[in-house]
Amino acid sequence: MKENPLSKLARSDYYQFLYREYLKGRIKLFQNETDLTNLQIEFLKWLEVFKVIIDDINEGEDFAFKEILNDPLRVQAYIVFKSRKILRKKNKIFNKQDENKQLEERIVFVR
Amino acid sequence: MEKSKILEKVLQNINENKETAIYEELLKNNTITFKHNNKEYRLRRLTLSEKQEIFEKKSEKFGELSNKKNWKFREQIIRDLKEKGYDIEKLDSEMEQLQREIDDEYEILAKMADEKRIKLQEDKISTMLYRQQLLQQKRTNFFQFSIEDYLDFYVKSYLSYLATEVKVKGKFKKAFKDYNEFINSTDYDLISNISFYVNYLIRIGELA
Repeated sequence: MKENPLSKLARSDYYQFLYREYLKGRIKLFQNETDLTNLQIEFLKWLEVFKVIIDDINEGEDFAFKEILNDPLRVQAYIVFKSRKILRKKNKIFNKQDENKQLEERIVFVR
Repeated sequence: MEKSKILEKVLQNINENKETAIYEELLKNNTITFKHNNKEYRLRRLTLSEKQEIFEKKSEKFGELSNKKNWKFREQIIRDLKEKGYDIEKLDSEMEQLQREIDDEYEILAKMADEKRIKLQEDKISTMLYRQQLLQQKRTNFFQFSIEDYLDFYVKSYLSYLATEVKVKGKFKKAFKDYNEFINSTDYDLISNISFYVNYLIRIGELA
């Protein structure tokens, strides 16, 4: 799989370091601070994706292997896995809320 | 490794590095510069009035094509193809289904740790991605003679003319005096260079 050039730049130590400094407000990443282009926005997304993966690796999250970083297919695989995990968690919470709501309605009805 | 394979790998690396460098430059200052016949060219973001000019030209062309009998909209092509036995809607749902299957395989890959199994799983996904490309290509081919696709081509050519500048005496000015000069240019290398960069800019949404 051919790697997206933005992803290649975003996973580099250089840009990851700059991004973390940028998040702390110490530097600016681009010459233009406002009116970001679509490309710059997409680059920020990739920087965030790799920041999350690197943080997950450092924190020993499930299936966050350091070998992922240099393999575009495994990066994509980790993104799908993580997104689905978050989605399932959300659905579980919503389903639980629905159950509670239905229970409350039934209680009101019985009263 | 065979010599030809090594060469292929080196060329692939050069192209990938070139591509990465283009993106890096774009990220920094939103322009692309390149040299051709010892002249410096650049493609820059369009101004609002240039975008408006493109919109007006597109609208004129739309009116012109929609009045011609031999030009069809995508919707009409879909209907005609269905009568001939090609079902685009079926193709679309096949593509959606394939995307879901690819994501399922990605999820399996994410949980793997064994190198051999990872390699097998990656091969499986690559084959599916290739199939996805073929389906996408098939879909694109069906519409290549549609009004919408022709308008895309027209807009791409027009904005290439508007966005391309050449450096003369230290200052950048329009490389082509008008659209006709651009489309009638016989400097095929220059046009090919411009198309290459314009495709990038369109793909990333900078020029559209």
